[in-house]
Amino acid sequence: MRKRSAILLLLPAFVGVLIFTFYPLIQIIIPTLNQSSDYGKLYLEFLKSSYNQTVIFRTLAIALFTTLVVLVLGLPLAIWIARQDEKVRKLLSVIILFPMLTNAVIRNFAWIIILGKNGVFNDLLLKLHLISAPITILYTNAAIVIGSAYLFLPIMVTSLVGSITELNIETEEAAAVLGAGAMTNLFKVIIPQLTTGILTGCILVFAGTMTAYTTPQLLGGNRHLVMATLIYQQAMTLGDWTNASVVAIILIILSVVIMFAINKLMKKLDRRKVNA
Amino acid sequence: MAKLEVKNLSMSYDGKNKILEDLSLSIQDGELVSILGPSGCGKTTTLRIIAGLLKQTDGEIIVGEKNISNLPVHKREFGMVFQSYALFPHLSVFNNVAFGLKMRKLDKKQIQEKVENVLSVTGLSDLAKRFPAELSGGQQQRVSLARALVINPQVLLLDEPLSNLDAKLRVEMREEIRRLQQELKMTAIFVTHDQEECFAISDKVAVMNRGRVEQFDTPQAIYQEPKTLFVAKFIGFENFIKVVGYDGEAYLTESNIKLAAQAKENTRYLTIRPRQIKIIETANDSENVVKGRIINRTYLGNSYRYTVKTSLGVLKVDDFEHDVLSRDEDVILELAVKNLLPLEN
Repeated sequence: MRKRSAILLLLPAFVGVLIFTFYPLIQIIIPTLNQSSDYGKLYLEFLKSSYNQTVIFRTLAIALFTTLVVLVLGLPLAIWIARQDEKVRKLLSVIILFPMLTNAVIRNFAWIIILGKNGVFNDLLLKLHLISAPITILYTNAAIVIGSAYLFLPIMVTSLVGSITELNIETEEAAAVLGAGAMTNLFKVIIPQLTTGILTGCILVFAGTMTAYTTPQLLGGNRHLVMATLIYQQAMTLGDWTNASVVAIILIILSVVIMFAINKLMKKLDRRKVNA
Repeated sequence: MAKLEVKNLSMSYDGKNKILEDLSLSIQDGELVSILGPSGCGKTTTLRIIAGLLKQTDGEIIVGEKNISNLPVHKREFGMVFQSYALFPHLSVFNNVAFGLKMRKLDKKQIQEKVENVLSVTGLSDLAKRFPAELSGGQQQRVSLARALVINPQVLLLDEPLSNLDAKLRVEMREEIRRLQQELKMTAIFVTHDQEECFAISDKVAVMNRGRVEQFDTPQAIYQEPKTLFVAKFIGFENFIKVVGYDGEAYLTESNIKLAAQAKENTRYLTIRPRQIKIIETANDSENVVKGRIINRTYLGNSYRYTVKTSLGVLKVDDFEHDVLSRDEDVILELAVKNLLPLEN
């Protein structure tokens, strides 16, 4: 009886997911199916092209770098926020989300102004005499990483603050009494207890960066295409919907495989704290 | 293992409200001293300052001959057992216990040896490969104890280690702690709010109230001769008679009755245990006799508890000898001089 009503209650959500997630996916696959009977060839040809390989590699590299940058910046920030009084912590947790409240285009235009040849960043470096002539940051892979990191830092911090506030602070005190200094404590006691939070944050940032369109488009320019911008170019500029579909499907498969791998890792690490 | 001396410790977060005030304690080598007090009395703060987890506003901590007042926590060489056990959830029992040894950069073989040794002493050998989440509360407590003991600490600090265990296990564990502490001749400080627990295992007890030590003595002395009103109340005395003066032979109570008791300066109250008040048949001419009327009766199993209204105030009396008396009966009570204790405020 109970089970039946549970199924009934889940039905709308189930149908919703079915329609809104899988129907578009099928729509993406259709162009490749119509095009040729030998559609496996489409993928092989796409993957053989060294240009496409570069794009795929760049997409993965930018996602990986962004994830690392966000993790390294986000962890200390998250620890600091999590260790404030509840009131301050709640306030900071909201403030940290501010970048996400602005429109993606506007946010990236701000970065264009900051990172440009005559931008704030170059001005600063010149004034500090660290460089003698303006350097090119805008429209490079670095610019994409910077813009993506800015966008995804709040997600990482939010994910981590949750895990950190759940830590038993006495474990750190116990480690200190046993002779662990601050750094040892961080790497041997705090971080190992945060694996779930860190990996969750990493999945979100990695998947988000890999599939983001606006940031690589505006900060990377046309010479630094990633898969998302390549899809747009194929479909909208060149009108080649078949190729766009191929890229989209490869992107989806890559994301899913990577997320499964991280999930698997998480479960393995999690086994150690059954019922904890 | 060493003598621990705490001198004139003061602690305040804002400069006004003192959490600890001029607190001194001297703990001999190999002694187990309990700090007993209600929540908020500063007992845990004291322990945390000794451990180095909190910085005192003023005062000194001396271990052996060494002043460690300003030494950071990870250099103090103490062992500590926490109320929440604070085991590392990501490490096995073995690695939890080995943590302190690894911090001391011992080689693998030595670590293996020492950990195995302490695991066998604490009865944990079979659990070495388990993770904390797979252990019962009592087992976690043992691991926590083993982890503190393995480094052979100068002083073992225990912060209400038994309060998360059920009653039966609590008794078992406190005996275990006492046994290990004596076997290893370890200097130890045990913080608790449970007087039975602390009397059972301590060489000495410091009763704390509002940031101060009210009395620092053996359990026997504290139980038999509490010095202050607070200590007496805390360890279960129930009859308090306010006194206003002493005439050289007897105390004068608020109600103008004279009561003979041991002379002591600064006495504000006299106290007596309910079972030490005698119900007598006839008022003889001996001292400290008062008449009263029973206003309530409770059956306690091996005795009756009478609440008696007297001119000294309401007194609680436990009677083992007489036939059961009923409400509104008049009785004569004797408060023997030797059982009447003077208390400071």
